[in-house]
Amino acid sequence: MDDMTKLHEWRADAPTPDRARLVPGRQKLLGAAQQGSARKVRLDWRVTAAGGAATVITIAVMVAMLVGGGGPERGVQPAGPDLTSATALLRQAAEVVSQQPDLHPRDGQWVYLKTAQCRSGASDAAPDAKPEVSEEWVQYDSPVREDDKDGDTEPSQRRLYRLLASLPDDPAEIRKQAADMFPMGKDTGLTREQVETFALLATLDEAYPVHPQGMAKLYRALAADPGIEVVPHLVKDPMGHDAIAIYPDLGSKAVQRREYLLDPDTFQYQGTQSVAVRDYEEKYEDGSSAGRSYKKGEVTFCEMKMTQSLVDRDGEKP
Amino acid sequence: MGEPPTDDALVIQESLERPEIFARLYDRHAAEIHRYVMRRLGDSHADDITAQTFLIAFRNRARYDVARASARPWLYGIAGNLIGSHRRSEVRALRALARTGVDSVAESWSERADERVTAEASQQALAGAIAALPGKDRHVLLLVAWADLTYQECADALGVPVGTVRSRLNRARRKMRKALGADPTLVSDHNGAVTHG
Repeated sequence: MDDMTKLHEWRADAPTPDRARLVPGRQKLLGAAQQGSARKVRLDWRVTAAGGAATVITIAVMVAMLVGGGGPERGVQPAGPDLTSATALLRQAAEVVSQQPDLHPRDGQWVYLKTAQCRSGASDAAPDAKPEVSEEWVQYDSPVREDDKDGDTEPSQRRLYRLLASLPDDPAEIRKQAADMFPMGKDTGLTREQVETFALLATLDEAYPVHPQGMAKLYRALAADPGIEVVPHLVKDPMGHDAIAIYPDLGSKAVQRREYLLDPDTFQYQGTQSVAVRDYEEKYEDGSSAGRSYKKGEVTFCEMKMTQSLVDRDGEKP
Repeated sequence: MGEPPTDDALVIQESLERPEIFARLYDRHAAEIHRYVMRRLGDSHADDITAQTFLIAFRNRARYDVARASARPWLYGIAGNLIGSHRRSEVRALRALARTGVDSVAESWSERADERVTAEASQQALAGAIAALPGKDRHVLLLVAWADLTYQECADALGVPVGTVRSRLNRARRKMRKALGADPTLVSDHNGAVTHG
């Protein structure tokens, strides 16, 4: 039996849904149709673009969630970090991370990643499930992520390490290089500055292992970005730990914001969470409910990096 | 008012004037899209992604290339992008299957809540190989194997040349064959012809 036949047979017992199960989806479609024009679901524009890389989707989902305005009241009193401004905080962070050791990754190594993910309302059965912990191994010098011919825009960990290691001092040039690493395509509706800000944050989110001086330059570029804000107090991350939260400010209309969390002692990146900044119900533009509502301060999504480590083999634990 | 059009492209075209007729597309294709999502991500995502697929398609129907009679590739392309946003979940489940033999995706539709769906060794090997593929190769492989799209339809779905579909599929199949312990250079065409890849 050949490989395709085996693949055909695998999960071939997946059921075809009965008509009743498809009715709610049809009603949503008709609700949109009855408005007489296309209705924009509260969804990212990018999912319609053929072949968007997962990383780019992550950035784009973030765009939809961004928000300015006052932070949710989850704070504890600040300790060491200077939380008076994002600029001050990120400059301070740059100094600290530049002192951290370089792991000197080698080709052939793997990145072990243990993450905790949460999605409020992800399941009707378990709307407030605890963060789900998972492990994965990512090839440091993944050839498929370095194959430019197939149009896959997801960079390898090696490319990100080398990007950090080769960054210049000029924040404008750093922004440009980050945007080249995380292309977002055309017709995004975003300004060039916004695209570059997202690219800086995507680099922060994706890069591991970290080149210390390069990461310091990335932090300085973020410090120079007027679109980056800091929550003026420590927040609790989804695991219950104190964290510094920086976030891109796109104005006051959005209902959530995407926070990038840093360790308050080491300033190392810890993960990201989306937080509702006011009570709201998710709706389609035709006014019908999408069936989910959120309270101010509620974490609607998170992906925390519990452990990251270089290992020598796929499947090896640190 | 005459008979409703049988061709998807005509339905889409007519829906620009009569939006509600777009539901005909849903009636034709929602079940298979739903099953495809189920097969990749499991029961919990199938309703939502299917509904979103058709809402996005409806919103973008004015840009549909009416020279393409069947909307299946277009719909699978949209669904594929939505599935792609769950890449970590999909890969995690595949890796777990490769390691433990327990298929949490297949369990999601099993009759009994406590039923364990265990895979054959070859399926474990396949799952490990598919987990290791880049997302775009995985999309091509599963669009061909599970959605029964032709190479051209697959190219239409993903917005890439058909040659790219072939190369991604060949690459994915080499890895599958290697995982299954077969000669990875020997790749039979999906239609049956055998060539060296």
